[in-house]
Amino acid sequence: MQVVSLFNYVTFFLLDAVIDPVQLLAITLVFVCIIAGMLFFILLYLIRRTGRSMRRRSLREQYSNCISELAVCETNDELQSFLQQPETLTITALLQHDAFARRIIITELLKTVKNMSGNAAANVCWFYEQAGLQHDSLFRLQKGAWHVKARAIQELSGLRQNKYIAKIYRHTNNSNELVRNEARTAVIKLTGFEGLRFLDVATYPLTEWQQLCLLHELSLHSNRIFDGVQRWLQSPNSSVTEFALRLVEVYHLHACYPNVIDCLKHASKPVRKKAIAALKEIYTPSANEILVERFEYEDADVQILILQLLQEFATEAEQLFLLQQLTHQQQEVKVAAARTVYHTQPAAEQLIKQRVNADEYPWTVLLPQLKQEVAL
Amino acid sequence: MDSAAATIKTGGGIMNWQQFLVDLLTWFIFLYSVVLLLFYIFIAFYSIGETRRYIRKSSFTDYSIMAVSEHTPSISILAPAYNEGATIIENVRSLLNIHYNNMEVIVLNDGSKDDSMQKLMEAYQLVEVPYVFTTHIATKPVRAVYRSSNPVYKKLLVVDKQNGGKADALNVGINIASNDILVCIDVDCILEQDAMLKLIKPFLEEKEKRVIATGGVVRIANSCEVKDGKIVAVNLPEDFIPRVQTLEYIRAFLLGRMAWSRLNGLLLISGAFGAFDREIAIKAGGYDHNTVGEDMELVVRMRRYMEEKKIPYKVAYIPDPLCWTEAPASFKILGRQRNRWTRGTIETLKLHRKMFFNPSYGVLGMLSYPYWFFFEFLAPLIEFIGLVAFLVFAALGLMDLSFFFALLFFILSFGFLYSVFAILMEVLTYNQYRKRKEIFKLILTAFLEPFIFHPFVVWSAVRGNIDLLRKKKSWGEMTRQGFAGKKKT
Repeated sequence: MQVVSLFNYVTFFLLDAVIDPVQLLAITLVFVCIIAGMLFFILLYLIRRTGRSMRRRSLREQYSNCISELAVCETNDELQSFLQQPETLTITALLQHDAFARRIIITELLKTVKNMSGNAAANVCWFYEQAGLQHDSLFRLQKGAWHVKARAIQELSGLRQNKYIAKIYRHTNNSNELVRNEARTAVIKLTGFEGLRFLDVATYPLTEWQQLCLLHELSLHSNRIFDGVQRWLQSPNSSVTEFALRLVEVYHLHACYPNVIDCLKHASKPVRKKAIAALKEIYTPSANEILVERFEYEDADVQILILQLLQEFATEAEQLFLLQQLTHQQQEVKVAAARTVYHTQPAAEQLIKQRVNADEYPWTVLLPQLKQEVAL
Repeated sequence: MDSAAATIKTGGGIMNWQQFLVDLLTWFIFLYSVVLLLFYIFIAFYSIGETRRYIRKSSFTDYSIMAVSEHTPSISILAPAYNEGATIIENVRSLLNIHYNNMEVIVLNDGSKDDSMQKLMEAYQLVEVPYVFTTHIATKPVRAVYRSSNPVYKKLLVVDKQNGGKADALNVGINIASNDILVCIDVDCILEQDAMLKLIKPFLEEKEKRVIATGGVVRIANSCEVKDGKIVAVNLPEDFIPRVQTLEYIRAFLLGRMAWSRLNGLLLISGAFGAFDREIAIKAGGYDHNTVGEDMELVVRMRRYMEEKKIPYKVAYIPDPLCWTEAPASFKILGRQRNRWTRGTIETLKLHRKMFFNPSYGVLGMLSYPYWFFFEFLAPLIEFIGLVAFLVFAALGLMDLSFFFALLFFILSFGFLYSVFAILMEVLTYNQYRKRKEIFKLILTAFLEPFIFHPFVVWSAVRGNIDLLRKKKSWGEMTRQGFAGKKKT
């Protein structure tokens, strides 16, 4: 009874008072006004977007003709006369007061320089400076939000503004991931392998994606300097160690062999996996014994990697170990071991049959499968 | 109960039990609606920041680095096929042409009764090979494994198995896959050129949490121009039913899933196109073939596994349109689809009821699960019951009609507001429909939706509940028109 009374009390004061039809209609009216506002905004936005895209297209056309002429200049005199051309003067005058035009031309210059090299690219970077556009990028680097900063870094590095390297370098350990990544990529772009010194102080992790970007950027440089790699292999930041192992793998850094061997005992599994991958590229016969020794301490996925490595390098000394793995508890490990035996022993089938019951699954299928694989 | 007890004196006057019931129901429906509306408002605003952040970040990504790198993770694409003979050759060709370096394509023929297998064997010069794999998850028997004798198709592996349903076929794929990341895909979907790169990138971006699954936006391809398995022109569907689903998908993918992703509370990765961590999928037990909502169920189970093991994890979501699919174009097919979705949701919620308001499951138990329970599972039932009750009360003269219509207009205007907001977000972000006319058509569709489409969807969900009680397990045949030969706009 009390509950019902309470309910009626609440109903009277809330249901009847708060949600009376007039109030609901008033809220509905507010919704309708917001809808009308949004519809109006959509319309305005679509009109504005069409206008902007038309302007962008026209500016791009204008700039692309100008940039094409700029790219073919060969001497300083030609560059100076390019600056004095009426079209160029019109563009530079527009750039003085139109931020939108500056954004478009910087994007166009960046795109052009990406697809060019040598003198043509140098001319484009020179024009970027002559038009004072680097001030625009620097201003945004200082004052902008994270994505604005990152864009500014991309512009400065893309248009080869090496003199601002110190300003960019400061951001290589920025708390924002995107700014940090762009700054790290930028220092490599500007200084090549030397730029990797940021790894000495990197406290934030390098994601796999960042590592791919850095490797890609490094592949574009020929002045290979690997001074810090041994130091990075011992970094307290395990992602730095992972990246260093990738450097060892890609650039076959044989001098790092002892450090790579140490990484096989690293606490982090991704580091150990990458150490095995690196070892494949800087292999020396003494590695086999260490790998066999590490095998029992590892999870199945790492054990499979070890067996895959031995597929290429196993000798007679490892045969007993490999044959023992044919009775491993995990089928994937068993299969990997059999594959390794098949690839390293001419009489593999006989050896395997001596160890296992060849009439039982998986051997009934695995043996023909391996025979077929080796034949291919 | 005497008449004196049946009447209660209140501050407002005499009230009998009938009026009490009406007020109770009105009060409940109103409160429920307000909470639901507040959730929607929160979702709408919360998704904005995440979408903006993603678009800004994505503008810096050069996917070509990933496309050519040898260091990208290897993936196994799992494509279950059942009676797809008419399109299987082209569909497999599309899969083999996917823009990704390290991958294998596993086509799982789930005991098709048509000539799918024969066609595959001829087109791709398949030969049966001995193939050992570990049965981590129990499945129906595998009849044979085929590889192509032509080195051009070396990435292709075709598995012929006994019919067991989509979940069973995918479980065979999980067992047989040789890579750490699995991409499950519907063979009749059309992928964007860089879809795979975008789907896999989140796996490369996390160091502190393990990414266990990723999914992206699925868009509706009806009326789009398709050439050689690629969307060459995006058009808004001409027919009303697919068009209203376009709006529905925009709301769900651009607002709902984005907000849930930001909360790390996403429960659903679309079965049409999603990537999973193979190790976790196996440890969680793979797809459940006893549910018709196997895609949602797997994500929930993988999340549950991670929560129970206290391993930091993330289910990532990409707001880019990655995959295009054909939406049902008739009420009959749509009804079957929604019926199945309802049954899938209920089955999943029932299987994982342990997590309901269970704080040890974090956001999953305290927010995601209750949201799905109250606002995905119960919403159509409450809406249906509410509508019937309002009509009955109105007929009996117990309902204040002015209040009824005021509440109706309030709810309808909010629904329209939410749809217009979703359209606004679409225009500001991905803007797939370039023609102004299409945007206004979409707005008109949003206006018509509550009167034509929504009641049907509610009814299909109610029927889904009834069918579940009757223990109906079927998927319901999904007839598709197909992209080829479709009239062009």
